[in-house]
Amino acid sequence: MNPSRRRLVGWVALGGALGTAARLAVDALVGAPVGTWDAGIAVANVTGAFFLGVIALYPFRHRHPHEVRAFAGTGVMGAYTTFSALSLAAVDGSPRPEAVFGLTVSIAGGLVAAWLGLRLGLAARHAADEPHAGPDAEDPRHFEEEL
Amino acid sequence: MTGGYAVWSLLAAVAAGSIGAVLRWTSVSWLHGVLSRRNSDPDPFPLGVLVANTVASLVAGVAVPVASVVGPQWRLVIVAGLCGGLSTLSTLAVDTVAMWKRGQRVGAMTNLAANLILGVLAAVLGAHAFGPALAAAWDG
Repeated sequence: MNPSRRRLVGWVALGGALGTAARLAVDALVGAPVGTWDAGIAVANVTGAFFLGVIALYPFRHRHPHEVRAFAGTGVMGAYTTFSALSLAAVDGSPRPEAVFGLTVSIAGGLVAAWLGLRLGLAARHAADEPHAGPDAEDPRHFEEEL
Repeated sequence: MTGGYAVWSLLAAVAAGSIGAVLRWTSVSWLHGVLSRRNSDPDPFPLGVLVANTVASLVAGVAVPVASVVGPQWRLVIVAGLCGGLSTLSTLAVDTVAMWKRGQRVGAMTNLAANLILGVLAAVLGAHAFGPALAAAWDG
């Protein structure tokens, strides 16, 4: 592994720890009071999808935009949101309607939130592009500008 | 639901989530590299996230019956920590919206359907086949 990849792994690991801690905190705060379905996971998934959308396209002024996205996107938001909790609800004895409801809220809400986040990130990119014509940060995800 | 957990298991869950995130990054960056080189496509199908989500669902399924004999704290460490950090909903959502916006409508629907179907199948397989066998072996 070359030094730059090793540095990326470090940022992903740090972000992953913070994202996991944030999800446990949100799940503890939100999870219990709202009925029996796991509302905390849905809150984490929808808000995380929104922030990842912003992070994916936001024009980071930082000298190392790859590291910023590895930390905040892959690490923090990737670990803050979860998919296995949704599929597990199908087999861990959760009531079927609640498992399906939780899955639907996370997926549908996550898609809408991701779309809104990408729109916001793209708007920020356009706003940053206008005053100067400098080389923009290379987007590692190769998103199209029409997003 | 972390109210009744010991401090060690919360710290272990956070550490496991960090390991899960690194495993997911490894899967995503490796498969992205392989697929984009093979097909000369800068935006290949997001197979790395599908692999991470499916494996996390399988491991979480296995962990439920196993934790019931090994100790409930391990469910927090493995399910909420390792599997929570390994799997992701945010990348799945952003990738799917990006594919749709690029005009890859079939790809976007396939991505969503594959994650859902394989994820639930993997969890069922783990919780009803591998998990009970492993729990019985531990107990026996």
